[in-house]
Amino acid sequence: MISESSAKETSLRQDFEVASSSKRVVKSLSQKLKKKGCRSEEEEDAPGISFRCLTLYGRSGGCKVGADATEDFGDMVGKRRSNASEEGKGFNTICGTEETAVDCFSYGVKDKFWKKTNKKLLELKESQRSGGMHVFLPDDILEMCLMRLPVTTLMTARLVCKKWRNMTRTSRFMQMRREGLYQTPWLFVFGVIKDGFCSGEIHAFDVSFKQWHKIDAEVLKGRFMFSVASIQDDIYVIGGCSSLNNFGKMDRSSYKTHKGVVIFSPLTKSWRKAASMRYARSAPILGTYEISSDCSIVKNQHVRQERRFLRSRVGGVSDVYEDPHRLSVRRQVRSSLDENEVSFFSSMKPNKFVRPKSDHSSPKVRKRFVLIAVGGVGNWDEPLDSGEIYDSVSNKWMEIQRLPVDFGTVCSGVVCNGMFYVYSENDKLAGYDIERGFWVGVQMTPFPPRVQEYYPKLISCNHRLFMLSVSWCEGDGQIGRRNKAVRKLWELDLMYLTWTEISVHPDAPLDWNATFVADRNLIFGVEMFKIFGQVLDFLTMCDVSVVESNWDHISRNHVAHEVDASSCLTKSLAVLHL
Amino acid sequence: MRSISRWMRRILAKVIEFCMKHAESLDPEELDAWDDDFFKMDNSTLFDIIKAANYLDIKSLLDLTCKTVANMIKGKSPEEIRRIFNIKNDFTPEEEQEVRMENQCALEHE
Repeated sequence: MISESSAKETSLRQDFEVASSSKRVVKSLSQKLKKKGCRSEEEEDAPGISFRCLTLYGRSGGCKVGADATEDFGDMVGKRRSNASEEGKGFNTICGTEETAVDCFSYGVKDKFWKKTNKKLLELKESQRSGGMHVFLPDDILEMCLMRLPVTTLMTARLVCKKWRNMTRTSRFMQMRREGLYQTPWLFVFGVIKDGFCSGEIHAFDVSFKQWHKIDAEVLKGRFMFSVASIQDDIYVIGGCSSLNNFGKMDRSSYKTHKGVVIFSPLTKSWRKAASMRYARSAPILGTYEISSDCSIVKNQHVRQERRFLRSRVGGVSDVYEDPHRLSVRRQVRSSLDENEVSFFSSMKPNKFVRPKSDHSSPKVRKRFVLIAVGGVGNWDEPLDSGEIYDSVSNKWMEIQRLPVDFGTVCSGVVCNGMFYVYSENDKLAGYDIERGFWVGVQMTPFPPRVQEYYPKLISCNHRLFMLSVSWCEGDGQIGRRNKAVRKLWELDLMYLTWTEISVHPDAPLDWNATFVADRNLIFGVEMFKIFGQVLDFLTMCDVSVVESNWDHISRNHVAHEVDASSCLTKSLAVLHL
Repeated sequence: MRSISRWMRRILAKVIEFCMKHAESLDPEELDAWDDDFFKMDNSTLFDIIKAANYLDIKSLLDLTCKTVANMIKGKSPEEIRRIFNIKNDFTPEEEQEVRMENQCALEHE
């Protein structure tokens, strides 16, 4: 065995030596070919030429070249041979002849040998000759590169070739992209009103490219004062009003309030429905919370309801503690629920809610979450103090405990660390423990007095609770004290319940309905207001993970060019990472 | 044979240069500037370095090189991307239109 392999080795080595030494020969041969007027290519370096000469060898089935060569050498050889014969002894023939003779027998091997070892080099040469770049990326590396593309470039990448298109469409790819944190934030501004009509336009802002995109949402035409919340890759549009008499117009004189919930998926630009709320609400305060799939939230509340059911009184206003879920009232309400619910979307054609083709909105991939809606304004303009919770797995809304009696109208709310914090117009803070299902009042340290018309906005990011509030700035000593209002970002220490000032918003607070949302460590705000007969809008952003959290203007005056001033009231904002 | 090992040696030398620079310096700004300069190379070298980093499991280099490739693709038209990667367009006009329609429904670069 060993001897065999060593024999092979030696023969290979011989070939190798032959190959390397024949370089010289072949070069000279090719030069001779050129002289003979044989058409050969311009390339002058050895490797290329060797190859071509060898193909001549191979194809011609032998020593055509050799034969030609020997023609030249032949004389000499002949001479030598004659000499040799004279001498009568074998002697070293000239390199050339000896090799051509050897080549005759082993040309196939040499051919293959050259081809194999020079493949990469030849490819390089080929590509250099063709003027393109020699590129070869294995699929797994290509995938790693494509994952890092922002979503707009990803769309372009899908047009390159079938392989790229298929690689970027799988849910696995989208999942890896999400986990690798290659997604960038997108802001969605809703509720724009043009010429008195609820246009149903959504203005999407790509933060990384600082580009606006307009999306026409037929579904939202005529709807106003709804609330939006972003969860995973979707935006939930909840509640709202629509005019009774003038369809499409923002008509605050006679309108209907809705319970309906629609879901917008920006990646596929598709809409679908979710179960409607129990109560019709306009501008409800929303909170979202991802929970584990085996969490017993719903079970807890369900069990509590069952227990209470036996003890509830029919038709009376019951004490909060005895009947936390107002089951007595619910029994009355239940009968009214049987009536035909005039859903805002009943007139929608079924094909508007097309099932998205691609994988990445498959419900199996998604994590379970809950959506809480509290407050808002009811169908008869009454402020609501009820709340409900939606479970994504069961697609059902369930009532939750009402807010404490003296809490006041809720103006803002956000989920942070499993608690749904809400802030009231009476400057009270309460938290709803989502998993255990009850409200607690939060006694916080006194807050600097705020400007009355401006209701603070609660924000949460990275397990921290923030609030944006407008207060009077202590005077600079110019015209007098309290001459300037300023919007500040505060953080609540969840342990000691103290407020710390984080940063000051650079813009004068001209929009009392400025909307703020947060995702990961970024807070985004949109302000829209009418000034000097013109509606202006500003988008700002703040990174709270940085010690010196400053606000940056990321867009000015894009959306507001043709919109009505009433958009300032109806606008809402959602942020998604795409 | 000699030319090939020269090529491989060149790639490995680049990889080692990168690793050594990132080991000796900790200043992120300085490293960023150095990286920008380092990656001013032709595409075939870049791709060879990606493959080397992948094989040698050098995560930081792999991450940076993939990001560099991603940046090459950003903002280019499909035809320009095909030229860089030497890819043949295997869509029929109908198929290409289908993909464009899909994209229209989603968020497309205006």
